[in-house]
Amino acid sequence: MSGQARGLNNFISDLRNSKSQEEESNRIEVELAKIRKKFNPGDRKLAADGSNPALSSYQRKKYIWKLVYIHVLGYEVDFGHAEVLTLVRSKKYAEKTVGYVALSLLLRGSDPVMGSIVDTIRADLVTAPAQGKKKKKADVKNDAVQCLALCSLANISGLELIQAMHLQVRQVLATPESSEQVKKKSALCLLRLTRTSPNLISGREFAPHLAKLLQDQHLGVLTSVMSLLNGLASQHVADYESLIPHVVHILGVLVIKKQCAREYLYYRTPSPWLQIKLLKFLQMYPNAVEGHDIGMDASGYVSQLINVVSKILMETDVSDSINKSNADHAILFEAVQLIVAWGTTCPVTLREGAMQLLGKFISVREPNIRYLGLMTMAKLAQIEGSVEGAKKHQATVLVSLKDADISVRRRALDLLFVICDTDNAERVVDELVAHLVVADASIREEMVLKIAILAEKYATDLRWYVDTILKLISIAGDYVSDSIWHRVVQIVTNHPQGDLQGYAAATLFLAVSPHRCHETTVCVAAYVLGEFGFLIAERAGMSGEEQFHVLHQHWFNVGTSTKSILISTYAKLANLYEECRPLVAPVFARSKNSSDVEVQQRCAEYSSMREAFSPEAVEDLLREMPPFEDKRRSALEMRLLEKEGENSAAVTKASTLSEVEQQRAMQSVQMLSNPPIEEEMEPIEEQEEEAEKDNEDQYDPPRQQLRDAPQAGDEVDSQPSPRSPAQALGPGHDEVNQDGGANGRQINGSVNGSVKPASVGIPKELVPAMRKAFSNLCTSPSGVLFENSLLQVGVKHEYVGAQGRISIFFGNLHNTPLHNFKVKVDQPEHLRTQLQGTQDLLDDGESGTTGCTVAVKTQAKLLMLVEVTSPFDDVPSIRITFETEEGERHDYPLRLPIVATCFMEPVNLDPGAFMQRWKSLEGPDRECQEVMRLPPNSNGIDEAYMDRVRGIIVEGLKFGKCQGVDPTPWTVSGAATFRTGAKDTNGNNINVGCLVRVEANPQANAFRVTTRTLHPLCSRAVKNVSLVSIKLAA
Amino acid sequence: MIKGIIIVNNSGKPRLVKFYQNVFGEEKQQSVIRRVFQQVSTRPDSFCNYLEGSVPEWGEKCKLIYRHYATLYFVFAVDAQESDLGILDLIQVFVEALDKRFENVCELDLIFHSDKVHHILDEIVMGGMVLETNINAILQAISDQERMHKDSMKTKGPNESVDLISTKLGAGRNW
Repeated sequence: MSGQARGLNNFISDLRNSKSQEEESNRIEVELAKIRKKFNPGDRKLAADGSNPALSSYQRKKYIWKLVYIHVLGYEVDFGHAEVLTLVRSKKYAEKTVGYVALSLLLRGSDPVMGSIVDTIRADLVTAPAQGKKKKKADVKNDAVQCLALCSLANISGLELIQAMHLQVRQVLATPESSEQVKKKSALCLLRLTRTSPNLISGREFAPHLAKLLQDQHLGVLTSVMSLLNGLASQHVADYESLIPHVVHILGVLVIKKQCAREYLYYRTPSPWLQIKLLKFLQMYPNAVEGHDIGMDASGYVSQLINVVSKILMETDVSDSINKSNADHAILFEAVQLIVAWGTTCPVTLREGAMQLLGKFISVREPNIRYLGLMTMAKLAQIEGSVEGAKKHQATVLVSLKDADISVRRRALDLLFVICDTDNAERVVDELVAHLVVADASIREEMVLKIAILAEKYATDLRWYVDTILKLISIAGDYVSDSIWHRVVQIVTNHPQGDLQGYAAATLFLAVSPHRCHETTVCVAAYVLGEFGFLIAERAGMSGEEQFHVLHQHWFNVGTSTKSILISTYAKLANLYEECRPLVAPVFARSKNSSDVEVQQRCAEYSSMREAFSPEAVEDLLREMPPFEDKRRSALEMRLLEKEGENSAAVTKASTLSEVEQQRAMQSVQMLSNPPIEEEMEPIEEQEEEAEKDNEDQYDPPRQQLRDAPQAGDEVDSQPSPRSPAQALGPGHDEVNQDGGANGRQINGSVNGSVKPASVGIPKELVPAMRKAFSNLCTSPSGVLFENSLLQVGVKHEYVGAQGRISIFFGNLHNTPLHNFKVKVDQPEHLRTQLQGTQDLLDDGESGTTGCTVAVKTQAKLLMLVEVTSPFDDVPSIRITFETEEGERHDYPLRLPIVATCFMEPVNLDPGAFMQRWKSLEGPDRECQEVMRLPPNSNGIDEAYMDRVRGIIVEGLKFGKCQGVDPTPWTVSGAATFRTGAKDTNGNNINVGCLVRVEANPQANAFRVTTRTLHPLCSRAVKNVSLVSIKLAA
Repeated sequence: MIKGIIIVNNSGKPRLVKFYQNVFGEEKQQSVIRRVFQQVSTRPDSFCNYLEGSVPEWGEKCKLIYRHYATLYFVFAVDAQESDLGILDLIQVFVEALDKRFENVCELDLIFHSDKVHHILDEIVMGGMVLETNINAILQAISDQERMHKDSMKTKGPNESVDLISTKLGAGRNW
């Protein structure tokens, strides 16, 4: 400070004069040792708090400053805490300042010594504010002390400190007598505290206080209060909606009336920061202007708000002063963001005006404005109907793509990606590919990924797509990930129409002909030629033998994984062309001794295949691969999602199907006679979902019966299989689960452990109904999982191969909102799960969300994307907690009907094959059998019952019918493949074949279910689900 | 919020470092500073003032907003909540405040008056949030503090005499 110590200056000069790092650290070592000695001389007694009372105030300050300086230079400082605290406790302002600065720099909230300083900070916080209007000198000092305390509280923000202090801070903020300075700091301090622990403040209670604070005339106070408000509202949006009119009012004063205290004019703009904060707040309420055009403006602020926004759009001008124009543009960009937030509810003129302005910005030279223009335009273009406006600027955007600045290039790339559609795809993609040649490494991966997605999305001719990807590989092969070339193979395989496959084969033949080419090209070429090489074998120079030669020239330059692909291709070539066999045989013979297990195995198996199997079986083995499943999200989109997060413009874009894609899907669906595409699309409206349900019911009589069949619930208790996933629905019902398997117990145990005694659980009488609902859902795609007078939980789930998509709806049936609504999903090891839900709904156990509020007659939604990684026989559970308006806490643990059979894929076998496999799967580990007797009062087993059982096995459990295996109506057999997303060493998905056989004994009124699979868990899971479902069909 | 503020000179020496989102451990903090410097210093002044997602310690969504004045880079690391241009203005305010306080501020002022720089910064940014943007208010708060500091140095009490003597004698004493 003013009398800054000379010693400190000298010390700093010394350090600055150091010639080397070593000299500097030596000097610091010496200094640290000296200070340590001063603080604890050893020969004198220390004070009770561990500080050295002999130090003068001057010395203490000086040494602490030195420690701070050393700390800032990046050296560890682990002592002197006691002296810091002494300074903080001091009555003298000069000492207090040093103390607080050091406190926030050297100590952390979690430091144990913090506890001893709490009282001092508290005392400083509540230092009585000035009474009356006249400020005395002492009051100024008190203000300053309060500020110091607030400031370091905000900077340290340890959990204990927060709990001890937040009430005081709130009080200071609410006290009208507090000075502006103190109000500002306490608002921000409070914000900081709520960020660390979001549940500190109840919005409904605090909003009126904020409304009062928003009437403050001081712009500095307003700015800080708005920061606090934005922070709070981002945690609980609905609680602060009532403040919108206040915010609009302030904005109106600043923008329209231009009233602003002189010192808050920043280069002639009225407090830009405040305006930004106000606009940011409004962005959180996308529905604020809904209905403006039909005259719904109850409180009168909507028209004012629209006026303000259009005034900002119109009046912003490029100014000669860079700082002035910065400030104005900052406001302008926030206003555009607000328009983006409003989306389609925003007046069209505003949207068009904004687009026009942005068009101007992206063509200016000033890099900041251009950067922000590109970024904002990408967001604006996402609003329905705005993309056409953005497309007009395509040429300008392309210029920015070639900018020297990586930040600008990234934004330009992003925008191009968003505005690309069928009309301009070829041009945009070609431009991108052309630019890829000169693009530097830092952006290449992103570009390759985006080009691949665009080319696939908008290719009217898939040959162009194949060409584009080949170009990508030749330009930037190292950045083309496996998932991109896998996708090419998938697309080529799945589109037999036209001559795509032949074209791809011929093109790849040429691509792989040169002696030098990228390994990825070799992979694609090997795969495609193996599959479709026969289509071009008649062309000149492309015979099977020549195909072998062009591929084999790369043999010594590629890695083992590519070699494995080549080996399979060779096997296929050898199978097709007699003349290839002598060429292939020596390769196999040599590679049988390869050090790589995969290569070795493939060679050995392929070369001995002919002796081991019949010629038909060999043909079968080497036949073309069947079409791939069409996943909802391709691996490329997943990668993009991973990189950019859920909210990015690009991800939204990538996940919506383009027209071309839809057409293509239609075509291939027709070709493959799969269910029509509409089924695949995500229903957006509840209604649609209902309709779909009805639909399914119509063509799905067995399930209809199943659902309608009433049944005494308590029956389930007598179920013979304790392991059944359908059981043990909740905690506190251990009788169901008494000898349940380890898995079941574990889940229930953990759930039990965390139940708070005060909360209401699931009432016992609901349990039977819940069990039934659960069993029902195991075999049907949608239904109600849980229902009481407060809450209804609906589940809709669908599966493709190893992946599933489960939507869970939580509907409020009560007449008041449900608060703090949280869902915690237990993620079992066997599933890879991705969660996405209504804001604040998910409780991931870390971020400590307080949950969302589910208003009356509305629902929260949770979307789970799962992928199986290993066989399993238990089910994931979720735990729902919420509070009613009356403050009653509810806590429902539920189990989700994601059972093993969800991931089955039917296999149709003829009787011979079925019996052969059935025999090969004998053995205690593979077989699982159980006999179930129906209760004596049931109707007995008749043929209609057997039909229903057959229906369940086929429709519900997704087993393939095996015609001819069941000569009498009293048995049902089925076969299926259990798909997992786990990879074996070859990179193929691990699948488990499953067989099931249900035998009925009408005389004994009993069923016997036998399952045989390669995996004990699978056998058990299938058996359990079958038993439960059969029982339900009674 | 503002995750951190780093002032570093053209050769990579940090002159002011403030972490609002904690990056624990000196080692890590130093690596953040090094990384920030490497990335910012390679960009010519004609480039825009934004750099995205380049400090893993601060997470993917972090953006560096910086300005380059003569020998110093003023780098603010922010999340998506902050206004991009607003932060640029804030840096300008910070620099103007320093300039007024030190009269033609230069790197040496930051070195020898790091306490004052910290005080000024604390008046502008608190716990990662923008506190005040009015330069006059900032300087007023600072001069109030300094006056009080002086006052408290003048008041004589039994314990103060040592303090006074030491101030007067200054370097004459061996410390």
